[in-house]
Amino acid sequence: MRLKLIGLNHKTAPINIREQVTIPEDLLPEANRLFHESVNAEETMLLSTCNRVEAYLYGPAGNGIEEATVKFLRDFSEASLLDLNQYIYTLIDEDAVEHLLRVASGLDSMVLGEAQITGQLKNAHSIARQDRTAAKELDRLMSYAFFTAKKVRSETKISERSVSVSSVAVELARKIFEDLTRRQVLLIGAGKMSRLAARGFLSSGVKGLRVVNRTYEKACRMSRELGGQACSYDSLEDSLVSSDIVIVSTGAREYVLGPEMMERVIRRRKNQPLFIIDITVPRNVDPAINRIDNIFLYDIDNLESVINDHMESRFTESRLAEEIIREEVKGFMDFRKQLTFGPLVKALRDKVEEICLEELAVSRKDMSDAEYEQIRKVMFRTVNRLSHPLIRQIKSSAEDYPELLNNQEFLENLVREAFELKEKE
Amino acid sequence: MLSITFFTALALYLVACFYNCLAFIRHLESMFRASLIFSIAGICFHTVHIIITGMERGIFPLTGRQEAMLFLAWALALSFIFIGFRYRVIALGVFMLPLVLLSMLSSLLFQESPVQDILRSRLFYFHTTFLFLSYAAFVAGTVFAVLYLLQERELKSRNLRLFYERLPSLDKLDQLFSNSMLSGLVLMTSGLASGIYWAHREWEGGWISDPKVISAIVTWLIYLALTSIRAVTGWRGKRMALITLAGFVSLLLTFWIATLLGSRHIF
Repeated sequence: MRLKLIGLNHKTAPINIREQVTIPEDLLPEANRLFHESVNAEETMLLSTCNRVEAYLYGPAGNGIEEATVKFLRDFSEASLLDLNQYIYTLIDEDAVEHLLRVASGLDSMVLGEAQITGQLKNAHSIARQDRTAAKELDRLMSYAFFTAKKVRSETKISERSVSVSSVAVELARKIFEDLTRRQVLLIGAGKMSRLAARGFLSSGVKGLRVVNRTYEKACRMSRELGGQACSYDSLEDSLVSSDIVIVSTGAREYVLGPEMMERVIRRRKNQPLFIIDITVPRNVDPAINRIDNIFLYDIDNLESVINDHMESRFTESRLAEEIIREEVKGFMDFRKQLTFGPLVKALRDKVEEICLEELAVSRKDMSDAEYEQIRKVMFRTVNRLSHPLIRQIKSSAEDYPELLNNQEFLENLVREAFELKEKE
Repeated sequence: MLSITFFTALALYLVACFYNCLAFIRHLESMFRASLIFSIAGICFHTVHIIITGMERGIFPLTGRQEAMLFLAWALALSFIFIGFRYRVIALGVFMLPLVLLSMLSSLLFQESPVQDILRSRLFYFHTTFLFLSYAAFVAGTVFAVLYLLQERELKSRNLRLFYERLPSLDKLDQLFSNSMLSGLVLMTSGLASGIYWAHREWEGGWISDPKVISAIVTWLIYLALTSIRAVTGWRGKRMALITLAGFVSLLLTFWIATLLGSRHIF
């Protein structure tokens, strides 16, 4: 029995392949069921995100699983005419465990250290558990993966710094204002990026959102969509005075905010800081206004360079994370080795104790209860001590010669036959 | 007054300072906690040292420059511990703890002074304690003004490398700055008031022309102006920093230079 991982990801397959193979979220339970039926494995689980499709299997060592998996992926998706084999990777046992732990911790993601993947993995696992396609082995593996992901995130700073425009904007605002719940956001224009940024602020709990547009109707539409309040363009200066965070993204070809107006605004604001984010190209805010005290102006290039810095620091942290993963993989493999011999060791113990009881039963009549109990204890201790070297030998040879694990059945049969142990259920 | 308590306190502050710098560089909360614990241990020994000195000499131990420097260190450490516990600003200790150490070490440069009878007054306790605590509050406020400028410069230049992560937000620094300045002003007002009352009773005439008194009143006026301007115009950042700097220079003049110009104050 071994663990197998078969799949493709953003490193092995281009987007035009991935988008065909990927399994839509609502079809995942069905796909998972069908997949379980179509491969020869005891436990299966399917993971599908926009950057990867992976099948986790636990089953007999025989081949044929890979072909069946590729065939399933091809048949289930729109990729029926594709030759998937060139994009597919197959990983076994230790390599599969390592890959899973890296995926769970966000180290294998396109955006290094992103946390979404852990949730997607949890979702995939719960679907597989509901349909009982995943059982003891995969459950154990998954909970180990989630444990590792948590450890990586708490012990390294890999997910600490924001790497998207909207989250960097929120982070910067927190460095200026500390508490965003008392802050008002003003959205000028209706660009797509600015909407994303506004959503970012709304979800971090700002006090309110105002929308200004040259066309009042557009402002109304936007404010309904985002859950804000529309203001007329004529009162732009007043809106600026009463806002703290300004997101600018209009279609205009000239500057919407200039130095003279902003100096007036800051004076009227009694020098309260103003954070202005200009997400448009060409820029809508005169760069000169960054020179005014208490105004903090960031354009898209500034935000991108912050993101780059943060990416770099995530990359540095990832080395630390890889170390944690290596340790955890080793921990899991050791744990598993012991577990695989667990039932055998227990059967062996039970067997020798059974022999003792049989022998004792013969002379039961000649003994008092106290004598019987004492002799029983002595016998148990003796046989356990006698069988201990054997058990230790099994465990240590499993550690020293990993290939023995692949011949585990041979080894197990040897012991079982010698002691006439029952086959495990 | 060298003693084992003095050197134990000094050593504990040194360890606290080390941990604080480490906490600042590595951005680690746990190191900061260690630093606070060592500072508290340090101030315990420091307090014991002051009490023992006082008992030995039979007077509130603030009779000369040596003891003044020691008491200043105590006030600075106290304000660091108080603010550190409440607001968890790691960067504050990077400035305050070296000042504590410096102040303690500089006390070694001076001789023990003789006890003057005029100091045997209850007003002496209030006058000095209030003023020293106000010095500590103003120093903390000045540190916050510096931190604000550093963080503001980094945010303005959009080059977020050194201080961005390690310093609190501008809003928090501004709040801490104004809180420190305000408490400093209240403490100084109390210190000056008790001093004036005391001088009025026991100091025959001419106290108003004492260089230290003039300098202290100038300092007080600067800080009063600072707090009022802030309340009215909402100034922050660079403009505030300039007034803070003026206040700080004036504070140093009051503390150090004025006594050299023939003041009746011993320190």
